[in-house]
Amino acid sequence: MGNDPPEQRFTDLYRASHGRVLRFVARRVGEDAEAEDLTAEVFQIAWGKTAQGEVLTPAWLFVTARHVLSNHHRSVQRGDSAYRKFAVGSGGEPAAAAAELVGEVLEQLPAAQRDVLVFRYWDDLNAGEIAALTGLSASAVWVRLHRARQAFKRSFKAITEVGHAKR
Amino acid sequence: MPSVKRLMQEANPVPNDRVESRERAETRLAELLGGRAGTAAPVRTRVPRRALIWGLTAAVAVVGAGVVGAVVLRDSAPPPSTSDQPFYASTAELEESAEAIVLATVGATRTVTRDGITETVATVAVSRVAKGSPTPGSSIEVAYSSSGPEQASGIRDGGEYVLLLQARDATTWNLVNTTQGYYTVSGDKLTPTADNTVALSAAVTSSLGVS
Repeated sequence: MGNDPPEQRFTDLYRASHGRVLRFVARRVGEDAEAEDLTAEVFQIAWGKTAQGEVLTPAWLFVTARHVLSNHHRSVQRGDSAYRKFAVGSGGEPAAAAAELVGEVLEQLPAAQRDVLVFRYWDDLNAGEIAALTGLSASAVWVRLHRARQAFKRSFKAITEVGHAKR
Repeated sequence: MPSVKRLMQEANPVPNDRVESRERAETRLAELLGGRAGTAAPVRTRVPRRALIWGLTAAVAVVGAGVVGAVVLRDSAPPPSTSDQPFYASTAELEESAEAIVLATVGATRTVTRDGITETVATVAVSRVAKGSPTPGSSIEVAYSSSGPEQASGIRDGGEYVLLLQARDATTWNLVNTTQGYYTVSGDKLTPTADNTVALSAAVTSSLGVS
């Protein structure tokens, strides 16, 4: 592990994490080619660090991916709702309707709760990785996730009840 | 309503079981390292069985991302309980996750509701310590959810427990999770919760004087 040559450490990290980082980025830019380029940039930075002797973790990759995304001009233009547009535009009609409903619910939540739900259920990040992205302790991540789920349920119920009342 | 997890996963714009090009990823790796890539076999992607089921559903229902390649799946780790909390599959993982492991008696409890979430905060008297900063004879506060699906429902006022704790802040501790965060003590015998199949190590139980 830590005593392995840099090339081996990096290869292990890359093969274990490349797909996860690529999907993390793809959710936020919506175009595969663009996501691949940005992901390559993340790993290029990671290789530079590894070659200098640093031992990196998957959590570090996600934090770096977020920095790379925030520096990406189109990502900045699209803002935080990019994931929703992509979700709505990608599925068939029933799936798109469900995705639109979820998007509507997410938009009603405070950003901190929305982020933790997306990190957990879309990005499949563990508590340590979410902690690295949010600055929370792992325990606090679970508390926030629990509260976010409760808020999601309340918002979902309110939106669907309004939808029924309109019919 | 369906679970939040299910709703979210079905709306995931890029499902986690999406097929991706390993060949292209390996090409990128070779470019980065100039042909000096490590020799280890490619790592198999971790996709829990339940995630795979939902992922397949989502893949059919939500996104038709046109990327060609292969994804390698591995049998799942032991399933978590009904919650989304972490579930530790081995004694080592469970004990490692805990910042403190203590034998303690639950004294006063109070209910706190914040942001619509109800938690119980218990003041517990620590009698023995296997790990962490609490000291025997001290009292600490332990908070755990008492609403929603993740409840430490087996903890009772006056009961004696082995608690596996993580620090929430300077004054309060959390259980590592609500199924593996406590073992009920009766005499000197430990009883885990119904969903917990992981035993504590001999080193921990002997230092706490239980078995």
